Amino acid sequence: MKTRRTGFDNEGLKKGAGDGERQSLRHMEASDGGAREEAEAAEFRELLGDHLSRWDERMEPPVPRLAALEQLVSQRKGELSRKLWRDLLLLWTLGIFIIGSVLLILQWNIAAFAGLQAAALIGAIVYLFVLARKERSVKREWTT
Amino acid sequence: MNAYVPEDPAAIRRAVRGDERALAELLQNNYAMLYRYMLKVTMHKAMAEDLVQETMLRAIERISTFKAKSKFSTWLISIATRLYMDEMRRQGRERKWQTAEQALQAIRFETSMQQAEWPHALDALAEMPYDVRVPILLKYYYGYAYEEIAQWLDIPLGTVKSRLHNGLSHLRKELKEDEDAANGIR
Repeated sequence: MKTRRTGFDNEGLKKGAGDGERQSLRHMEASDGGAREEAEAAEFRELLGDHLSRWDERMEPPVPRLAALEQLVSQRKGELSRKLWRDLLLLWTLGIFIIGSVLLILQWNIAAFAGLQAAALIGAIVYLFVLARKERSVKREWTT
Repeated sequence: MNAYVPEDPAAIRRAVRGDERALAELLQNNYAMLYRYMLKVTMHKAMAEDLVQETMLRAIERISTFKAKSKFSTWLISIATRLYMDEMRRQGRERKWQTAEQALQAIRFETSMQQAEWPHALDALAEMPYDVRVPILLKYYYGYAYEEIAQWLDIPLGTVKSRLHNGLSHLRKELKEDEDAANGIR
């Protein structure tokens, strides 16, 4: 007959357990975790809960008037809309300039055009590689 | 004005569709809740006010992306938490904000002006590192799930759990020492 083990002993028991036992072990672990979570929450309430609630009640947040918030919403949306149009215009101008220049080079010399395309491709690959490395290092920095 | 107002799904839908008045009302209804959260998290009145305003601006910018999978207040708290974590991670913040001790002193002073007591337990919370205080408040005071906290803080689930466990142990120890010292004096 198996003896019921809890806590750190669960790992040893888990290795030799069948499907049904594994499922019941998972339930036990979940309920252990739930019980621990509840115990920690209760301890926090005991240590700090009342103090924080009383502080909450004493706070006097400087809630703005509805008219002021409406103005803020309207102003911000206007700013965002203007920024969007500005960025779009810039993008179109830049796009037309680049396409125009590339077409001029193509007319002038096809070898120079091919060289430019190859350089642009290599540049894009290098940029993506550097970006991916940077993202990985940032993720490592904040997750350790 | 500061009382909690239940969320109105119709108002949220109108705000998402671009109704400025509906959005302004939602922001006003949640302002007090957000301010209280930020003050507890930052322990810094000026920073809390600044971050609440920044959160409002972000909410205005991104309201069209709000899918109503969570409550509107939860969405605001997630934005505010991310902004605070970014602010604290950014270099040079010391020049912008008064020191944590000065800020806490200001809160203590304001509390005493209200003829109220500032318990040592809140000092212990304020003295914790910000990246432990935030998950502790989110989990144990506001009742958010580990997964949500991990996502907002951009850290693994296991790190959230260990910070909560260690933070609570630290608080317990601090407050026990304080209690023992008080008993010893008597």
